Amino acid sequence: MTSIKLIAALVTSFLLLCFGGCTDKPMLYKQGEYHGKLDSQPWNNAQFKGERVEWEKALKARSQGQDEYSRAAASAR
Amino acid sequence: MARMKFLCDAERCIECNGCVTACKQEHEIPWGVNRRRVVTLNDGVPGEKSISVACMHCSDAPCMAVCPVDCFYKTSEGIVLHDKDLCIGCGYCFYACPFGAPQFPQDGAFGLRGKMDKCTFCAGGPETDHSEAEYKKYGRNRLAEGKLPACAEMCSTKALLGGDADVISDIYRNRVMKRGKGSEVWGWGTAYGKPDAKPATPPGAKS
Repeated sequence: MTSIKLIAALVTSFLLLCFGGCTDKPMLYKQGEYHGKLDSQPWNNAQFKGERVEWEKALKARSQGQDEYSRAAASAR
Repeated sequence: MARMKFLCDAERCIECNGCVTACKQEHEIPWGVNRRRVVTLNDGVPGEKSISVACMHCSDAPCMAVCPVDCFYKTSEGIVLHDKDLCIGCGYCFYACPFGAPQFPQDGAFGLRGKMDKCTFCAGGPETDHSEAEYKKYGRNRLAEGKLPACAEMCSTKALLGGDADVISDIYRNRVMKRGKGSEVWGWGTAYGKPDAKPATPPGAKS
């Protein structure tokens, strides 16, 4: 009985050794997740000193510069 | 702040390629790579229409969906950017993009494809803002300077608008409502006189 158990254990360990490398390795990334370096916010710099509102104000002023109707009205005043 | 978007007014674009040149100059884009280009429909036919095209920073970007190494990310302003250190230059994003935005440098003896390059909305990349590495890989980070993309700011006819989607759609809406057509067009009266104005010299009078 013990010899049968020993043979079974040997066979199992042999099979495990043989097919141990046939498993799927975990993927390095998951679909839909970014894996690169993290980016900083555009207002976190020396110019805006983390003030998001100031940055938004600056961008809004630049955006209004694209509207020649408001620019013409401002220059006519 | 909403999402950053580009909007091109085909009624105004005169195919001057100023946006293309501004982009090339601002980011020192190599030969063979065009982050922005002007497409003309019915070229040479009266009534032709031109439109400036680059990455549209899609809300549900197909390039992000197909990238096998997930090198794309979206900023809090809705700008689609990517990490060139992760990009393997497979070209899947090029096939997925409906605008042909992803570009691949093809210079070199064997025409190597290289890492993907595309419009960054002048927002640089994941490197430190204003660093040498960021400039070399992605170009200038104008957004962190409180400026809008160079192409939109350089557009002479203001056909190309860039910035917060709410703001630029307001500008465009206001423009469409005011510009009219024919003699109603803004500036027509200054250039050609108002339609109801009497001529400077009455007919038959000595000048």
